[in-house]
This record gives sequence, C-alpha cells and structure tokens, in this order.
Amino acid sequence: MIAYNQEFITNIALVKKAKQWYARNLISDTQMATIQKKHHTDFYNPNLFVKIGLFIFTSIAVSAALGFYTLFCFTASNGLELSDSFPIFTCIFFAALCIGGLELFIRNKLIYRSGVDEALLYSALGFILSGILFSIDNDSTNGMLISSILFLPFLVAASIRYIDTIASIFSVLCLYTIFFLFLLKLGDIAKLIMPFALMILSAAFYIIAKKQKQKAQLLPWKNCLIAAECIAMIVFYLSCNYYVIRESSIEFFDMELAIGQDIPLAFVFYFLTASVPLVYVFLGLKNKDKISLWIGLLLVAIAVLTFKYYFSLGHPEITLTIAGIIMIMVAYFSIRYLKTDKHGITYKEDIDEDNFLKTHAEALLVAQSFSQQVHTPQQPENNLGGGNFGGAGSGDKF
Amino acid sequence: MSKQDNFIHLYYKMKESEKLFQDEIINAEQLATINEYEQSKPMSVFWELRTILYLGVLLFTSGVGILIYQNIDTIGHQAILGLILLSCAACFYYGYKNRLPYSHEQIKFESPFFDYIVLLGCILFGIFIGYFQYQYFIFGTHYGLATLFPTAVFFFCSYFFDHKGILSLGISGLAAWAGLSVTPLQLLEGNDFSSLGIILTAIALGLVIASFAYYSETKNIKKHFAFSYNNFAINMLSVATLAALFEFDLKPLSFLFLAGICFYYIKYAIKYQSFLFLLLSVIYGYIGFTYAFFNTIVSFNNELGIMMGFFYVMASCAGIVLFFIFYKRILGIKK
Repeated sequence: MIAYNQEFITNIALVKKAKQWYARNLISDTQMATIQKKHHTDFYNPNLFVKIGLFIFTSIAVSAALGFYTLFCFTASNGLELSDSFPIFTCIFFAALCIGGLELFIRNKLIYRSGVDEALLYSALGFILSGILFSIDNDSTNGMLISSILFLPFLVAASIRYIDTIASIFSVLCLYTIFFLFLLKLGDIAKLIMPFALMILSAAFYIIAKKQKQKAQLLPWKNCLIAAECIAMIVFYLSCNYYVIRESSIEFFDMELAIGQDIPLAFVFYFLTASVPLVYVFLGLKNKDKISLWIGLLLVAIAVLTFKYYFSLGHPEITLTIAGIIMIMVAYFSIRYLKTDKHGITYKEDIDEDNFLKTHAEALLVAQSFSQQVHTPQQPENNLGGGNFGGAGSGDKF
Repeated sequence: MSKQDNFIHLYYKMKESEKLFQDEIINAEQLATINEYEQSKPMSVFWELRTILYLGVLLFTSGVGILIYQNIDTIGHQAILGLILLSCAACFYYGYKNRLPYSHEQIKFESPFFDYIVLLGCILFGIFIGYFQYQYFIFGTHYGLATLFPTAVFFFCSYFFDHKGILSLGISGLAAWAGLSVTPLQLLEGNDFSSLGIILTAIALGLVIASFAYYSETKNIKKHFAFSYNNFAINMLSVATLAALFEFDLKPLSFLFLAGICFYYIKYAIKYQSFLFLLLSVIYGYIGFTYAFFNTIVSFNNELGIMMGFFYVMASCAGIVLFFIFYKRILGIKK
C-alpha cells in the first residue's frame, strides 16, 4: 500500500522514540547502539538545503519537459490544428510519466522526502487536476463541484500511497469544498445552517483523525492525520468567526448589510469568536497537546484582530503597547508559576535528542563495536543513524 | 514478500517499547520504566512562553517607538539620544563584566542572555551613531567615516565577545562603507550592478574577505568565524561576477572567473563538509553556465533554438538532481 519501504519508515519512528529515551537515560549506550544498528534506514535523506534545491530543479525539469513536448507536437503537426483532446492527453501522459518516474526513483534510489519525490508527486497531481479541468465543460455552476469530486480520489490515493502531508491537507480541503458546494445548492436554508454544518463536519473530522492517530498500525500516516486534525480545528474556528461569517454572508449569500448593522445571531458568533481559541488553548494544556495549544494561541491573535476590526479606537500605537504589556505579563507570570512543574506542564526546555546523540557519538561507537563482538553482525557496513555527509545540516556545524 | 508484509503488519500494531522488548533489546524492568515515562512525561511550554515573551517585547517596543516618534517635539532629541546611549553603555558594561578572557578558539558562555545583551548593545550603538549623524551631523559630510567608525567597533566587539551576529553586522558595515548594502534582501535591489565600479568594488571586497577567511582558518584564529566571512564572500563574488557576465563584454573572462569561484567553494565545501557552500556554488555556476549556453544558441533564432533551449533546461535540471543524489560518488567523498 505504501510506496516506500515500510520497514524503514517504522524504523525511523522507532529510532526517534529510542533517541528520546536515550537522552533521558532510560536506555544504555549499548542498547541505543543496538537499536540504531538493528533498525537502520537506507533512505537517501539529504540535508534541508539540498532538499529545497532538488525540489526546485525537479519542478523545472518537469516544466521544461512539458514545454519541449508541446513545442515538438506543434512543430510536428506542421501548422495543422491539434485536436481538442490534445491538452487532456498531454496531462494524462505527463501525470503517468511523473508517477512512473516517482515509483522508479523510490524503488531504486530509496529516496524518501528528498525533494525529488515531493516535486514529482505534486507535478503529477497538478497534471491530473489540469486534465480534469480541461475535460469538463466551462459551465461555472457545477464545474467546481464536479472537478472537486473527480480530484478527491487522486488526492486520497496520493496521501495513502506516498504518505504525503500536503496531499492529505488538500484532501481534507477538497472534502470541505464538496460539502460546501452541496450545501449551497439547498438555497436559502444554506445561509442559516452553513456555519453550524461546517462546525459539525469539522468536529467529525477532528474526532475521526484523533481516534485514528492512536492506532499503532496507522503510525506511518500519523503526520497526515495530524495535518487533518489541524485543518479541522482551523476550519471549525473560521466557520464561527464573526468576521468570516459576516464577509462570506455578503460574498456568497448576497446579504446586504449596512455599516454597523449586525448579522443574525451576532452575539452567538461574538461569543464563539472569543471563546473557541481559549478553549483550544485550555484543551491543549489539559491534554498535553501541542498542536491544539499552538493553533489556539494563533487563533487568540486572530480573535483579537477580529474584535479590533469592528471596535477599533483608532490608536494602533496604544493597542500595540498594551498588547505588548499584556503578553509580557502573561509570559512572565506563567514562567513564575511554572517554576516547579504543575499539571504535567514544565518550563524546562525539552532535551535536544539529536544534539545529545552527537555529544555521545563516541560512547555509541564504542558500544557498537563492543556489541558487534557479542552479537553476530547482520549488516557489517553500517553508519551511525544514517549519518549523511553534512548530517543534520551544515548550519549545525558552524 | 507476503510473509514479510504480514510480519510488518503485526509489528505495526505494537508500541515501540513493546517491539524493543520483544526483540530482547530492553528488559521487562526497562519496559515498565519507559511505559511509565511515556504516560507521565510533562509537556514543555518553554518555546511557547519564550515566543509570547519575544512577541510581547517586539509589540511593546514598536508601540513605544511610535509613541516617542509622535511626541518627539515634547521629548526632544537629546533626551532620546541620552536614553539610547545609557542603555548601550549598560549593555556593554554587562558584557565587559561577564566576558571570558580572549582566546583564538571559540568561547562558550554559560549565560543564555549574554549573547543577546551584547548584540543589543552593538545595535544600539549603531542606532546612536546613525541618529547622531542624522540630527547633528557629527561627521559632517564624511558619510564614509560615519559608517566606518561603528563598523570598526563591531569588528572589535565580535572578536572581543566572540559573537558571530556582531561579526555579520561588521561585515555589512564594511560593505556599506565600500558603497554597497549587502543585507541579503537588498543585495539585488539596493545595488546598481550595471555600473562597473560597483562590480569591481564588490569583487575586490569579496576577494579580501575570502582571503581573510582563508588566513583565519590556516592560522586558527577564530576558525568558526570563517563561515560568516565565506558566506558573505561567495554571495558577493558570485552576484558581482554574474552581473559582469550579463552586462559587460569580455564574457569569457567573467565566465572563467565565475568558474574559478565555484571551483574554490566546491573544494571548500568538500573540505569542511558544508552542504550550503556546495549548493550555492552549484546554483551560481548553473546560472552562469545556462546564461552562456543561451547566449550561444541565441543565434539560432528559430524553433530549433527554442527546442534546444527546452531540452537543455530539462536535461541540465535532471543532471543536477542526479548530481545531488550521487554527489558522494562524483566528488569522491567517502562517508
């Protein structure tokens, strides 16, 4: 089901956990070395700079191939009109080419999140989307809905087979689009139920993603599920944010609002605009859920901006100063309060596992050669933690 | 394959700690400890609170800054200058008190605030000189001197306090003094690279900085500063040479010079195992080579030329991708 070597992917997660335990002295040098040896990965996983470079160059190569192909066809057709299906055919051809190349690269070069695979996957998805858009008529009423429905299976397939976070984000957004466009068809009633319907859908997505995330057999897709969770939380908030509702009522439902006039149920939405981010922050702290905490903090800022937009006093500099003072106070008192750990929350910095590993590289090396004498070596040639040239980034070295 | 699939499937269903226990890497006692740790590990809000604090300071200072700007008439320039100078002196006093003795090696400071406070002191000093010059013309029309003076102070402080951030300020100041602004974003916007004088100045400055970096590294004087120097030098030299290649005649000369720079920095990247310099050299070299290629085929002003262009882009990008996948073999680097 997964294109990448599944064993390596489990190993990455396992070694990551083991590093955390090792950095907290829960396992010994020898055990860490054994884990690294037994659960190694052979993926080509370069440094971030190179990933970016590979992504850009692969994308350019694909575009140039498209240009070359198109120009070649135009020249070869010798001034004759190309048929209407030419663009569709081109898209299918190139999507197949990208997917073929991707599979070949993954199988032979063991690339994993290396920039090349992402670029090929997104190009393929782009070609599929263009193909869909070319093949449906340009009638604007249903075009968007049909293309979303047609595109969705490809996005889902991409997120499952290539464990791609961005594809999964777009899958969720695509589902939202379909849902939204269907609801719009209901006519007048859509106007009333839209915010609540989107909130219910988001809550459903959130609960599903959260439940599935716990399952150990879905471990490779953990990041995809986390991404889905984030999108659900954000859309939930956006669908009850006062500004969003007011502006979208005007945009999509032709509601006419004079300045100072309120939308129906305004107080409910004011309340939700202010309270939902705080609930997120609270839940994040209570459940020790960093994602919820971060999104909550971000949305607090958006909530403040929303209120400032409608109830501005016209003195941004005073607002800035006061906001600054409040934030400094919040941080200061929280740090004071957390002098000793409370409710499972600490102000101590997390141990940097990779750094710890690096400072203990020598001990590990000794332990490894020692353990090699004890056990029969399975893989005689093996490097510590897939230590690529450049390692965790050249920035690290300097 | 199916047997392995099945195994992996079973394997997935276990927690990591259980897998290790089953593989007899950890014992039952450790399994219990690890599981208990996973259950009870605290969540660190260190970065969250830090971020809120920094953003708060940022908002507060910008708010106060705007308030001061609006009320400059009632407060007066002298009061503000005095305030800046006082804070600057306080920062430097703190740095002087808490400094460690100078050494050619890298010095690590215990206090997490030391770096920030010293940097703040230098930035405040720069602001002070700039403000003073703007308001009272202390250096008259000797703008060069007004830039060179803080630059000298920055260089001194960077070595005195062993601070790479201040060193970057110093290098930017040096370049500004040479008639350029080299903050990364303004590198292309701020400089008029169509003038030969500026190109030559940039190349000369780049060469001086690169040679100084080389000297520091061989003589072992603050070796870790070499990255900052080389980072400025490679960008400066490459952009200036590319500009010369695009704008002026004697293209083969510029091209060869660019090739030399890339060659030097690829060597450097291999020696110090730095990916950044490898990537920068390859990208700058690629830009130059592509320009040279298109400059040559521009004479085929027809469809064949365009098709060759597309083919070149496709093939060269694929070549670069393969280079980065196989660079170890190509450059002869062992793991």
